[in-house]
Amino acid sequence: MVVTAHSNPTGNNMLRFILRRLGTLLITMLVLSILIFILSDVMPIEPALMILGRESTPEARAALTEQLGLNKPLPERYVAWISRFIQGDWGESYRMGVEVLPLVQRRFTNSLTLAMMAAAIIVPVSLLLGIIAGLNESRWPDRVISIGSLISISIPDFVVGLVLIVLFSWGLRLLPGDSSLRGDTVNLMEHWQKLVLPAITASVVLIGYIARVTRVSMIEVMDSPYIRTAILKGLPQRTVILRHALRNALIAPVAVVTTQLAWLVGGLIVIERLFNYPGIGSLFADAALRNDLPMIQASAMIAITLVVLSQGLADVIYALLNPRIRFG
Amino acid sequence: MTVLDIRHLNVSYVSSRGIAQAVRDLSLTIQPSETYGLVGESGCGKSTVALAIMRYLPRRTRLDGQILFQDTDIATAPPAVLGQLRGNRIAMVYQDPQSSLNPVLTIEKQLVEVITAHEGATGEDARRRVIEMLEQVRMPDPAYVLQRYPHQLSGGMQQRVVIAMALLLRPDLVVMDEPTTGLDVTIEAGVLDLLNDLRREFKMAILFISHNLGVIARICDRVGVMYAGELIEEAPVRQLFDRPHHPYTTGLLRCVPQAISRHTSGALYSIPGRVPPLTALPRGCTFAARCAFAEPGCTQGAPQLESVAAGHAARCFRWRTVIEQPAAVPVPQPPSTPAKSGTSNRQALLTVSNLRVYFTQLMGLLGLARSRRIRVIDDVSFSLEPQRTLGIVGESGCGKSTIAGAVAGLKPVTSGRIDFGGSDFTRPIARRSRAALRQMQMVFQNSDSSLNPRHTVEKTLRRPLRCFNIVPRGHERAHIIGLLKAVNLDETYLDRRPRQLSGGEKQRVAIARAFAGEPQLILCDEPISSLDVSVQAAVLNLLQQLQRERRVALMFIAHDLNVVRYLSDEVAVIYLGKICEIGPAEAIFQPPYHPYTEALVSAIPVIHAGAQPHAIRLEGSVPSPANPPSGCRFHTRCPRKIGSICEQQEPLGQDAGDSHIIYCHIPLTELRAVQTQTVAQHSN
Repeated sequence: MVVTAHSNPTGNNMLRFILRRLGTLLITMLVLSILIFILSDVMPIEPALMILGRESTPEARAALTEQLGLNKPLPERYVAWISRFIQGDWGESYRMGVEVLPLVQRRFTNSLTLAMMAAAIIVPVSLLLGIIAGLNESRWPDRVISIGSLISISIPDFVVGLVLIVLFSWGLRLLPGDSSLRGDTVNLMEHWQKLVLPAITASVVLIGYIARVTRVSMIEVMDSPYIRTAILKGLPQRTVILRHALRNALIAPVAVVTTQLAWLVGGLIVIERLFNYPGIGSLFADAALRNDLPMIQASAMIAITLVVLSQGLADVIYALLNPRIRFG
Repeated sequence: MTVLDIRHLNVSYVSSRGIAQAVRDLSLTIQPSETYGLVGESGCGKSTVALAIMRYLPRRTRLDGQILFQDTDIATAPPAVLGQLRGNRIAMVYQDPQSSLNPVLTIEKQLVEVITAHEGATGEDARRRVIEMLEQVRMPDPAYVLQRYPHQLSGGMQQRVVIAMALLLRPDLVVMDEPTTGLDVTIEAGVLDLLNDLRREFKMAILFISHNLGVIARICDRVGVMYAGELIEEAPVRQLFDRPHHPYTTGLLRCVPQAISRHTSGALYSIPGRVPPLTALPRGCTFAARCAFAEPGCTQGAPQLESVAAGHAARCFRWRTVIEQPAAVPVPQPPSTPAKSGTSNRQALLTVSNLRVYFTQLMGLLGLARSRRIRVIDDVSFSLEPQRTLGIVGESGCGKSTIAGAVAGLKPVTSGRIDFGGSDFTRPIARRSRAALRQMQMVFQNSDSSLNPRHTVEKTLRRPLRCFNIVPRGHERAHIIGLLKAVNLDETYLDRRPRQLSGGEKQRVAIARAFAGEPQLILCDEPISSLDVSVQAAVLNLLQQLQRERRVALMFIAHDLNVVRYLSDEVAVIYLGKICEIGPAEAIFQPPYHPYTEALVSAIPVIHAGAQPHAIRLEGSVPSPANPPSGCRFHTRCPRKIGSICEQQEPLGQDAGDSHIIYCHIPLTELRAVQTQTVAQHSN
């Protein structure tokens, strides 16, 4: 009898899978970087005018354009830009007159810290709620969780933030409502109190969303023929759920969690503004409003890297959970 | 001591649409080492009985009566007791092994945990027992299989795993719910052989559920027939098949096309009507509305299960009449017009020459690195004359449907030529003219997904009329009603949508749509395989009748050999994208035949005693068309392989007369001799 031939099912296979995915990710990023460069070239921004101001003479502006290499053909400028970018030379902000890289680095670290703190709340809470709801379909725990998550999704994040500030900062005086940082750099040990309220605010929306996805996934799995098999083998309920159901049920929410991670890092503009937290989201928003080209390019590249990396992470976790992907 | 004793079991599903009485007053017993078959059409309550025995029913289900397993009443047993019985003393084998195994756990984990849960054994000891059991279910290389995930095994191997899982702790009762449905006929035959051996070795009791009478005949000792939630007849297996007492059983048996039957000898018997909805059962006998023997009294009181002979009971008021005057059931007449054979003019309608359909599969980084060609159809030639039927058979994955797809222009042709009605049809459907499209229509397997759920029957049938300008606008409605009448429906169906139709009715509408454009050729891709037997027969009759009246040719693709043999004038047997045998239907299924055809024929489960086919079994499943075997593609599984020539050279066609061609290296005389011998050996 023929057994379908497959390569060695040990870690070797997984390593090859990861390497292949990394290759795909690099190509994706390269293509996107070209797109970003072309788009920023199309934008009606004249860098020399922005740097030198309206009172500058056309001659001076032309000279600066020449000096910046902006009159060269597009492919040449792209190659110059991307090679400098990879080497860590991200240029100078037109508006703030500072190096882009250290600023972005600092802000990025701040955002990442906040995101990690939020994720540490979101992932366990939402998965747990979703699983409990799914296992108790249409009984009271499910109804409570389902309604609760629907409410949490429907309330805008700034409303949640405001309520939390009023409650915990002004009312109970437990936690600070202002999360601004002196020196612009976050230190978890020192500033954890300042992170709690923004992290919870960011969590509320996502917990509802991820819990709902997990719930549906869990219900589907519990209804599947292989769970019937597990139950009719006479396995204890604990084994049925922990060993047979959980891993299958987590496949769907993992995809959601990892794609939302990118949003947690870069997309918290409203929350950062509300709490006055120096994250990268507000930096990007400012750059976009002020046509600060090097800043826009840097932020777009950061956003892409985040999305692509989290997608890659999702693929890897997905493959770990699902052998059908690993041994296609 | 009785293993299972079900007494007055009632199961009903409660939902917002009402109470569906899935099982009503069912009593049956199973003795040690007995195999009890439960047979009936879909929706008759068979599976509900199985799940009730396992006490695995939806939350809102009402369960009354007793299910006595040895000394325990399963109907009332507490969860702890159920946990001890399940998987240990009562085990189950399921219909679809792929979805019944957990996709993320290795086979080893899924097998070992049964032992761990019930006996606490772990590690090497449990592993050794699992390997022993896999050997007993004839699994090749068990140690290797243990490390696999379910999706890495073929369907036949998956089912062996599920069977091994059920037998691990040597249960007293195994419940098997359609364990071979969905498997290819060759795989099914292997699994049935295995079950027959195992039930002797293990001396266990089996409740075997199936809709397939041939499968039941092959494996069971006693049989119960279910209809609309009731047991309507129960008898030892041979007695049931030889002397059925209930009109429904009689009907079911007559619906199945037999090995000997051909369309030229008459239409198939079919049971009119359909199973009544379980939420609104009729008064009196539930079968009366479809019964040829029914008289007014039948709808008054409900018949009881009555003993008609030793060990034989039937639920019918009129069973005496049924056995005395079987002629009361109308016998279908042979077609009045002489059959089409002989009248054929030798001008082919469709000629397919050297057809190749290769799919390219991209692999590696963004598909840039490499690609591989999958040779789905590789050098296939055949022709079809007007008004005749070509049957195409083969296991799944052989490329049957791809041939139809290529002819219809739905699959791109890699090379070769398709001529239809004198013009070139090799081009894809988008580049065929309206007139060309009209000439060729298709009926698909799944009428659920091939009818637009939002369109009424009228709208569905009006489209081809408009597209092809069949009738002037004013006359459309009358024409559509005519079409409906032709498929034995009437104008009350005009405003219905697919969800308001039964499976058989949907397929009738699909057939009406195919005939609406007045085509010359209809491609039927497994048009009846999702239908119940009684409905299958009616749809087959309809296809034949329309073919005769409307003078179309049919290309009929099916995996059911008896159906193909019944309906076709010519048959092509396909294996891995190549024709291995082609010729007149009456010649194909007798020696000499290709060893692959021989295996297919021998795998068909048959109903009648004495007609048990000689056992030629194929090992394994169809190899991947991405990397087909060299030489004769069948050599890896061929039971009659003669040597290295089979591996090295592609066989040429040998003419067995009357344009019957066999692609095999074995000389025809030798094939005929050895195959006739095998048939003789097994028929005495």
